[in-house]
Amino acid sequence: MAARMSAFAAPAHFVCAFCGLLCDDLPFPGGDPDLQAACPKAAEGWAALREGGAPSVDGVSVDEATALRAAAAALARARRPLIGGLGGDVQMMRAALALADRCGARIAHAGQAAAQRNLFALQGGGGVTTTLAEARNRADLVVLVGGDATRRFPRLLERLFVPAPPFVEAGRRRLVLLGAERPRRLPAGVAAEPVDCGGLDLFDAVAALRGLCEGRLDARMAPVGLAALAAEMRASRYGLLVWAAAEFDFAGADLLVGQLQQLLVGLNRETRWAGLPLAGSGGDLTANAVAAWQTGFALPLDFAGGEVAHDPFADQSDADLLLWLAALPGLPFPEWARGVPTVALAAPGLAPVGARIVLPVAVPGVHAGGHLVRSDGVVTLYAPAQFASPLPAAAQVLARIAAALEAAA
Amino acid sequence: MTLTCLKNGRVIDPAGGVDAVADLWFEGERIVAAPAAPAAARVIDCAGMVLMAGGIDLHTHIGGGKVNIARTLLPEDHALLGVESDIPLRSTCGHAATPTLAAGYRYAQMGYTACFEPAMLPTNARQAHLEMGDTPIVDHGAYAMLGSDDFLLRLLAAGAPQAKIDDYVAWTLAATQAMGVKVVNPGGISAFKFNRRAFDLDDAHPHYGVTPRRILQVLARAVANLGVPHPLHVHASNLGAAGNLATTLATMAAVEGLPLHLTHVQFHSYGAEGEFGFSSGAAQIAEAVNRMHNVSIDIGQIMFGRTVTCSGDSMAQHRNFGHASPRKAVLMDIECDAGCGVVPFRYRDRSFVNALQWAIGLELFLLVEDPWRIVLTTDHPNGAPFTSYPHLIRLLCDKDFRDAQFARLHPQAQALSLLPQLRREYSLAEIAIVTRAAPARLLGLADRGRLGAGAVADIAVYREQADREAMFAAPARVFKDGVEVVREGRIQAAPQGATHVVRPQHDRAIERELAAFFDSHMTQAFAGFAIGDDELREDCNRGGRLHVHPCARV
Ligand code: SF4
Ligand SMILES: [Zn+2]
Repeated sequence: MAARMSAFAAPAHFVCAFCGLLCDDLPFPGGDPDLQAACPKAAEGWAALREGGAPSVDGVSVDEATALRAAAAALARARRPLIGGLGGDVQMMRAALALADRCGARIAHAGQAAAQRNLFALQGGGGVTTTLAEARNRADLVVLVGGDATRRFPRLLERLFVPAPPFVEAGRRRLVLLGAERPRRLPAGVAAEPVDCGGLDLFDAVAALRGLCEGRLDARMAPVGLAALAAEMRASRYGLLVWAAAEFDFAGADLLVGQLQQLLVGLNRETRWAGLPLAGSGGDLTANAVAAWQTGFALPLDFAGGEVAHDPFADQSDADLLLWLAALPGLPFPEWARGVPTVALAAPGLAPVGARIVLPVAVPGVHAGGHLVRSDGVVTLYAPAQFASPLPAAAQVLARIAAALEAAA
Repeated sequence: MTLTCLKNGRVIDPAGGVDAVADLWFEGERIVAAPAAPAAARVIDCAGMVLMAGGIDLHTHIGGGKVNIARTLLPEDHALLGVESDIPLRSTCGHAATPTLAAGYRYAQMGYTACFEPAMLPTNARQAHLEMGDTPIVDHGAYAMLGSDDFLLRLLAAGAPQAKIDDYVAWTLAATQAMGVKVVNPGGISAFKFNRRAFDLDDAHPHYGVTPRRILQVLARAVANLGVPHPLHVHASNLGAAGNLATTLATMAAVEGLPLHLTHVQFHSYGAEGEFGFSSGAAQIAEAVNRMHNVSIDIGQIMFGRTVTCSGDSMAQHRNFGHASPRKAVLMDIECDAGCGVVPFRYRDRSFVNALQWAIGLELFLLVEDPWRIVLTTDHPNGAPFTSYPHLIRLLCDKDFRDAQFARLHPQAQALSLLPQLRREYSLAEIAIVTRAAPARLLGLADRGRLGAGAVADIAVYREQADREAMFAAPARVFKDGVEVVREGRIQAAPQGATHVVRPQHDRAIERELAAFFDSHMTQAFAGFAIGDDELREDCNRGGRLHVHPCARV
């Protein structure tokens, strides 16, 4: 998609919302042929977007008022509506929660399963985490755990290793891979050393590390590579465990994250360690943060019966209407929802195939400004609009649907 | 604009020196003098009622990252506690880790109309303002947390002049849209990142070499130089440690007469005497407060029951990891600013330490003589949820009730407390001071916390009752900016509160240095850091108003 620059005052900077790292150190990529080199994920997100886009009902273009009325009527008729997707900014989430409350709807993020791996581990036993700047400034030993994190967060190692850290002596920083695939991109001068886990799977390797670090497992009983790593971990002054829960697509992943968190709790008895769970893509941290501050609970929520309830395991497939919010790319559309009547508030190019009603919305950080929570869960950035666009923000469209519901009531 | 007369109530307005049965008039959002010819006024009979200004909580953790971690950590905390209402409200729930919606509604139901978040990390300021914007009815504001931030510690290590520190503090206040400056365990949160586990007033920082004493001095000086009305808000070193009373006394002396607000001082008033090595230091602390007129305090009273402690003091919270109940706690290092620790906790009257903490808080309340320098808080939710304020007020006002509660405590704690000898009972006027007039004065809120003509019509109307807990739990009416928001404990309207900030001038040369620091240390662009007025008003605070309070820069 090529950006159409207008008389719009150029914003001071660009915040990329295509993954949870929210990079704000790159120029606005509108029409940039080199984007693939700068970040393949941003390039992919950018390529998914289309220009323009008109509201439609049953595949026929209509004016916005007609689509809004149709959306409100569908919501009013629905017995068990679900507001899903939830890829967007804080204002969208505020409006989505208000509408869910008003309609007695359920509300859930498309990336719930991955988010819950971190969430359940936290709710089960707490943990120790850090933020991107602390991680970059302090870590002398970075342990990348499991899967292929740089597929989902391509600029991770650039953000973690460049520029040189102020609190680590030159040449003393190391990157090791614990059951993780080789990073797709490595900054110049950074080597990734795989740990030989002696054939143990990730669960057993992490359990062995815990035992070694806490002195419950004799080093002679453990694979040599893990025993050596445990010794280095205890000697590290500020160590970092990095994982992307979205990569842990297997049963018991929350227990694995729990083990990682308890490993960190144990290490902090003597030295300093922290976790950097990678998340925030598709607005999952943003959506959960707003849900938690307004209601106390993370997603999913159920507002049926005029109360707010939280059942993290609730089956949602009995929904008779799906209001799908996709102001950001990369949200997996649930298989079970293929046959469910769908109202999509989506950025051009992101509406699910077969959606009955489509209302185009702005991408935060591109067509409209918006607040997003970064991967570390602490830094909330304001992503300014990059050019003047007629696309309304998702929050505005949700508010118009709510108004149409009021008017019809 | 409707003219309203609250007729024949007992008006308690310590700021105006009033405690008398009178008529109180307001028009629109302001209190007015009794009109000469009052035509077409709405008259509300307030016979038997006590009228006070809306309550002001100057230290309550209502918004920001660590509170949201606490909420997320504790789904079991969020029992359905209904909010009574005559209008459609948003659904909400929660006990100790109160969600924003519940916090706004419940504060208003108790007659409070303004709340201040005391620990806003600059890098988390957007989230804090977004959360406060989702806290209905009450006005709000926040103190920016400094003192363990790498930029300040670098300035101090490099021997920067005070004027430069003043500029940095002023820039932080403006960029984060803050109302004051707080320091938490000065330098200690940073020292913990370098693996220091304790950090006393004259310890040298392991990397920067500076001492907490110096950090306190330059920040207190900066706040005074910039003319920020609220004194430096200090969470002292050694939170919760037995024997920390010596550090607290030294902290008071360290600022050499500059204004200082010591927060949740109960957690900093511990001796190390007796069989268990833990004793009350309330008498010594109160004696010092009585003597040092530059010092104000809030208490941070604890109440028995379940709560969750969330503090920027990661060093102290890490020490408490083993006390977590349920057994889960969260620790975080944060973005060149500070850190946080979230530890769920249950205070038990049968625990010697908890029982004595309860008694120490009340001893402080009763021993500090000048109510204008003491503010009623539980350090929500660290000592207890703010919903326990009515109970706390009864403890202060009713010696018999207090004695009955005291009799249930751990016996050794009883033996070590001088509470039974303290006969003082707070008058209603003193309650009005410690819950509204004093915090308004300490914050520089010229037209709040009082009921004189020209003040904002934030008014709580309580039915006078001997049971002060019942009286303060459910006001007959509450007006916010002249709008009736509560009647008989039921919400009538949920307007958007205003954000309160200060914005002293600074020399913008400091911003060049900050931009370079952002390039070398931070992971976000300096260009996007500051929160603009439009962003604050329209996005964060949903169109609510922005009040910029004047600073008398010296
Ligand atoms: S790493 Fe993520 S945030 Fe950074 S440029 Fe790539 S997609 Fe955007
Ligand atoms: Zn506090």
